[in-house]
Amino acid sequence: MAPIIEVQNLNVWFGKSRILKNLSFDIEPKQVTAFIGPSNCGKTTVIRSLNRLNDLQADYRHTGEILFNGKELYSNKNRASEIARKISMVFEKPILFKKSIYENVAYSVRIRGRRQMSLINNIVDECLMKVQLWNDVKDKLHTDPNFLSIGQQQQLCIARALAADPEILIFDEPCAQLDATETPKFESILQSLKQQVTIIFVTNKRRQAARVSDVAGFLYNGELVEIGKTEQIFTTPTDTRTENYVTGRLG
Amino acid sequence: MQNHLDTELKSLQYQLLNMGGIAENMLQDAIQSILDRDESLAHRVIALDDSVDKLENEIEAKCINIIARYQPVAFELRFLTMSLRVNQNLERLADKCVSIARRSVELLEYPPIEPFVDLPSVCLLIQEMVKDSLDSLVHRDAGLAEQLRQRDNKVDEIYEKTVSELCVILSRHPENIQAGISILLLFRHLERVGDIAVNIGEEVYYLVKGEVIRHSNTD
Amino acid sequence: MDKSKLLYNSIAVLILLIVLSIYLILTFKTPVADSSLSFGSMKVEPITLLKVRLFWMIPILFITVILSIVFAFIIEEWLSPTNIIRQIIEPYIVILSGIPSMIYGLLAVYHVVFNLISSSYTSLTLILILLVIPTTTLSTQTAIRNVDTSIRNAAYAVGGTKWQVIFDHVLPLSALDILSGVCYTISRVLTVTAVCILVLNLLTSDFSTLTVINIVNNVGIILLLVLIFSIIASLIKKNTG
Ligand SMILES: Nc1ncnc2c1ncn2[C@@H]1O[C@H](COP(=O)(O)OP(=O)(O)O)[C@@H](O)[C@H]1O
Ligand SMILES: [Mg+2]
Repeated sequence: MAPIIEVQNLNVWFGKSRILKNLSFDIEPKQVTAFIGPSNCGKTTVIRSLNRLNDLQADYRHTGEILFNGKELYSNKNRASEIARKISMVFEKPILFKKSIYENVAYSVRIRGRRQMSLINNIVDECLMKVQLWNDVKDKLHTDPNFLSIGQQQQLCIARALAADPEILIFDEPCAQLDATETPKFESILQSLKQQVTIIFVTNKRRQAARVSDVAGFLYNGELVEIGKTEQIFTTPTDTRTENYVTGRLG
Repeated sequence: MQNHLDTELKSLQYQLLNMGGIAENMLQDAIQSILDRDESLAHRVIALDDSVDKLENEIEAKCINIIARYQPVAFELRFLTMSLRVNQNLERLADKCVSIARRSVELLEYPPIEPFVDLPSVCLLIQEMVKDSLDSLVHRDAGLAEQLRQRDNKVDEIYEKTVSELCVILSRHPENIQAGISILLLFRHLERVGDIAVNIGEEVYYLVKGEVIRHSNTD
Repeated sequence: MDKSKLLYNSIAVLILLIVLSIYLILTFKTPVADSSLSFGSMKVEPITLLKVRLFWMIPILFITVILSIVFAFIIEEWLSPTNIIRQIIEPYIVILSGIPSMIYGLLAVYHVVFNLISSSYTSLTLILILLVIPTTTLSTQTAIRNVDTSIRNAAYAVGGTKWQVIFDHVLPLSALDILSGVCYTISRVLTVTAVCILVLNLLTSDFSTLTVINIVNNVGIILLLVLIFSIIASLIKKNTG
């Protein structure tokens, strides 16, 4: 299959500082691609360049080519909001709107201009089921999501992102706020979503990347040191920096 | 909730048993080719060697991947180390089957020697051992696995007896020396197959009980 | 970054000083001989005149507040912090909103009493605009900035457009803070009014007990309103700690 995202020589600047240096990689559809690396190596910057959320940063600038489904991602023909919908994102902290559980998910449908109640209901139910949250909240759909645990809130965020009907789902260190008991559930959700969407996944927990990803890329100081099949990265990395990182001697 | 590692381990076990099944069939065919003096069957066994080697590589890569990706502990870790060793033993088993098949082809060049041991029953004994070793893996049956060591003692006895009888026969009919050596090797291979079954049993025992019995005494 | 900010700030200070001096020169040139408390042809008491004027100021106040809020949204949402226009504009907002309301009050008195610009409507409107726009804009800007960026990001990340993000999230979340800023501005406007009334009363006062009570009555009510509005302002302001 043709790659869903192709990146060629991506350089990113914030103001005068160069954050990413000559990144080139492809993202294959219906796979989990993980970016690993120590904090501040530029992981978040990479993924935000992919869904144009970096456009919101005043001093953001990039060179190089990013193709999404073979077409230039940053061309003027694409509305940034449409790109952000197709390449939806879940953040480190579960960020919920000050609305009910139902409305949080329904929002993603409403802003696409779909107003039909039955359609919205269906999508909300379906998305909550996909993230394995349905059984926990089905009786409390119209209450405030604050009573949910952090893990459940994060599940709700995933449901909201899914309701936007994305082609790619990006996760930025989604488990950083979760406790150890909630992480396996998250990982199983990730595995089940893989059939439906392409997943890009950023983490600084290398073990987690090893467990859930198909392809892993190691970022270090804004450079993509190595990207390849997860098995290869974790058994026979070609770069000594990767070797040191995956064995825990670096970062 | 389905643990992803569990699925991986299940598919690993499936692959392992699949390979075990192939090796078992090879053994069956190799023995049959001896008993029936069937050359084509022997060649079929020899031809299977490559595919088993490939399987061995696949399983080994899979084990290493699982270890690298999931960093398994406790039962999962024992299962993986066991899988690695059983994998190796199965490949060796397949090699032995190929050797047996080669002997079978060799023996076709000589007239059959008059039977001096009950070859079919010895073969059956060995085949039963291999089958039981794989069964003990399927059922995680430590008892069955441990028992194989006693059964191997009997095979060893038979082997020794056969060697001495063969010596007697050959001293009476020195013209049969070449066939005799082939037969000697054949029995050597069969005895090794028995050992392999025992090894597999020991790995299964380790998996279930967590104890290494490889170098302890049989009794 | 800091350098250019300093530059624009100094330019703003300079320009304001120039405007102030031009203004002073122009007004000093105006002959003050026959305009002593005669109030043109109308010959009404300045205080009554002011009250009528102030009544008409209410719709203007309303419109100015709305415009300032829109203005603040335009600055915050459409002009990036590095945008040149924004960098030029912002120092004026900050400086003007920092001027104590007493100054504006005296300015208003000066205009009403000496009827400087042809109609005191124009002058009062100008003062009102000068008073309202910077404070309301600044407080609205702060309110918008206090909306958690992550909420914005989350809304953009599911495909929200700028308008949707503003109307669905930023506006509702900052509404109370904006309202608080508006209340604060109103209390400032009222302070200016109180200053005007007080000064005008004193100018025409014969300092009998009756007039003093009258003054206290006039000013007291307004000061009470000032108090109420500033209390409301601080009560509805979200704790942004
Ligand atoms: N908006 C920004 N302006 C300036 N520098 C930034 C901005 N965002 C990130 N950076 C810098 O880019 C580098 C990479 O950041 P980030 O992509 O968030 O790393 P990671 O996600 O791997 O921790 C950091 O050194 C950070 O200081
Ligand atoms: Mg980050």
